[in-house]
Amino acid sequence: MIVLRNVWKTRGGREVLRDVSFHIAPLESVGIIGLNGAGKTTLLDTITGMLKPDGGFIRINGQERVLGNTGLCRDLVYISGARPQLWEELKVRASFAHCVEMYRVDRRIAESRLAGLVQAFLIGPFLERTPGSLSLGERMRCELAYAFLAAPPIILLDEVTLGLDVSIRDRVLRYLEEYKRQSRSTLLYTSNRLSEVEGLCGRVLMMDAGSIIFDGSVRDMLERVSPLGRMEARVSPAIPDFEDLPLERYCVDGEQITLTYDKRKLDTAQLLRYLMARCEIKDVRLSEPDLEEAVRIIYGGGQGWKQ
Amino acid sequence: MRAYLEIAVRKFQDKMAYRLDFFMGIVNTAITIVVYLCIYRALYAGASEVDGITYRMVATNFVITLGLSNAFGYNEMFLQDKVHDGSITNEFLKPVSFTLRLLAENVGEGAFKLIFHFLPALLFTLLHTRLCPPKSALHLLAMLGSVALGYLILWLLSFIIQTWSFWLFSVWGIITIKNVLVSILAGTLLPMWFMPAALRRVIACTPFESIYFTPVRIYLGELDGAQLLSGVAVQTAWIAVLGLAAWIFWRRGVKKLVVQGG
Repeated sequence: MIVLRNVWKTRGGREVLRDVSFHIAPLESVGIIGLNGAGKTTLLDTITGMLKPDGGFIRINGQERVLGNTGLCRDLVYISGARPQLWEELKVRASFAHCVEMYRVDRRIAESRLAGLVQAFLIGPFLERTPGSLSLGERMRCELAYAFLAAPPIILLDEVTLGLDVSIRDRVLRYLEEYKRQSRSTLLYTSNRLSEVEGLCGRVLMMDAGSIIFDGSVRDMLERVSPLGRMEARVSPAIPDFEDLPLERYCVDGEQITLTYDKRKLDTAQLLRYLMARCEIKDVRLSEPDLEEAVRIIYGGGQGWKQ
Repeated sequence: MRAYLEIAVRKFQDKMAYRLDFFMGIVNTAITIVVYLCIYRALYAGASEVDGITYRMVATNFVITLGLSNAFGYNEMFLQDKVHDGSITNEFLKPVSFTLRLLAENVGEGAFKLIFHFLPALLFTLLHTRLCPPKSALHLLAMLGSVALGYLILWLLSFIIQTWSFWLFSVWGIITIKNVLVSILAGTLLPMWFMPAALRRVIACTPFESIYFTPVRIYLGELDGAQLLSGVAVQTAWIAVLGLAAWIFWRRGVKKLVVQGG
């Protein structure tokens, strides 16, 4: 259980957290999204006691102080590119051994967990090396393995897919989704990619300029953020007449047509079928609002982007 | 507890990986012993004793002192480096006490140096120099306990100064001064027996006497019975005092760090 009430934090004259309040229930998985500088990392730093809030109140499992509270520290792990947990001078395998002892994981469970993690994140070759000799992405994979080796009740992950190759990122996300499905821990996951959070988290907190501007289920957010879809297509030979479709807007430029539609009235598949029945489609591209637009939409009260 | 043991053992194993460091350590320690023993021998100039202190006692004092100071040799700038690059707060996330973890790492490194640097050098010394035997097996045992307490005093002195890096830009100078003071006042260079009486009275009021000299005197049997117990009691008292000071500095430093951000 994580509770924040009216948390404020100022750094360097800038308000980096403004009146942040929420509850996170055990085993919930929550995505925290926002653009750079929205306050995501500061939020996790404050929750884990790395930063002291200027005002307000934070409780984790009913306890106020994380720092120096070894018992509470054992209940959580916080992985962030800026806060490496592996021992700099030791081989990765030794850091993992420390992790197992510090988090008091049963040795046999730890062994099978590690075997699974080595397979999932492909970190076998890194175990006998020190973090300093690994690349950024390789190190992050080891840090992630450290977190899931400990697998404490609360796991906080800050932009952990940053700098990972696409194939590795998919592996990591698949592992996280599987972990979430078994719901073994509370998961806090920050990202500036809407798509990552969609699959992984049931609930989303959207931050902007230190405030939470949206707190709700992923579905609610998507409904608010992307009621509008846009389709760009090249068609021939004739441009059909769209009179009988509930389109918001359309624009024709030779072969190229751009259609804007409200997904609640017309779904994409229906529109495609309509087109295919009437003309030959050479090329088609769908676009949806990205995070920047999503933030603007939520701010603007569901206006949706305009072309 | 097991976590700290694990940390100490891993540090010990980690040190073993550096072969060159390992051999240079032995050579370095052996040379230090030979050089100092030569100086002492020259100072004795053939006399069997000076002020009732024999050359062998002086040699024994030096070897024990060197063993302990060897075990203490670790990177005293560790905390400052961590504070400067801001990585200190990351360490607070680990579910172990940072101070005990640091102690465990230093002890692991010290154990390595004792076994692989000091012991071979000691054996080499015994080939050419006869040292005093311990007064009894019991005295030897008591000395080992006393050495552990002496180590803790050294460690706490260092840790206290290291915590000042929360406020000061660099504690390197202070650490150097501390190390010079320890080597002079704790009797590394000049054995405590030959210090002027007035200076010895002053040193008796500081933790310096409890670092090396108490274990040496226990080994030689100069401290016996009630005196031995009071010597150990004084060591323990210094650990309590320094421990309290270290705790206060540490807590304040951490508080400052978290409010300002790390």
